[in-house]
Amino acid sequence: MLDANTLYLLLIMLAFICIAIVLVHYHKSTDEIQRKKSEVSNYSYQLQRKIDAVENEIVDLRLKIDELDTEIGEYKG
Amino acid sequence: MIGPMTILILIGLILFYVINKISTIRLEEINALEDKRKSLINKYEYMVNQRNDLQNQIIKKEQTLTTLRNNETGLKTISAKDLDMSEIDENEKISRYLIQEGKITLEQNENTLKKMNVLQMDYLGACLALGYIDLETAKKTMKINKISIKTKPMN
Repeated sequence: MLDANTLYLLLIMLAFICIAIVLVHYHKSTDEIQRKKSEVSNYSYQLQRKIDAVENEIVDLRLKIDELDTEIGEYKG
Repeated sequence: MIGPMTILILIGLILFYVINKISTIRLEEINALEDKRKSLINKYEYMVNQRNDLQNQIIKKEQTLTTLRNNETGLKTISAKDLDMSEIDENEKISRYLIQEGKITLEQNENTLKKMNVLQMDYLGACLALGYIDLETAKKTMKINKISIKTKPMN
């Protein structure tokens, strides 16, 4: 049987190993989150530009529809 | 005095709790980012649908306007042949007929004429390929204008 000092030394070593495991896990998780954040950020930027372009197109189309409505109204009226 | 076994169990529990907590936070963050991405995609799709609806509305309105203009000027032609356009080539006959019938707009006509060479198709084929008319309309146009089917060799 191990004496008390050796046993506590082993326990302390185990505690350090546990701390190392937690640190590795924490770094892995934060890395993953950062990667995901940058991925979403890039994608959002590109998509936002597309959305802006489509919004402009929609405004133009609405104006065109108004013009056409006016012209149709003139013919009908 | 706390025994070594108790300390071992305590270390195990703390380890489990901390790792579990970190994983949960990571999962929450990733889910939040995914939600953000999905909401943007939905917004984009909604805008694109709206744009397509508006484009369809414009096409319909332009066709209505063309029909109204033709009615106003009193030009109503059933067939290109009735207009005695024998000197005009077939493509022009078809384009005039389709515009007068309100099947396509002037803008679409111009676009088709531009794309004909690129697509290497005749006028009707190009209209069909661009989705301005349906097959039924094409057949009807061919019948009315007595167009013979021509095939062009593909490069």
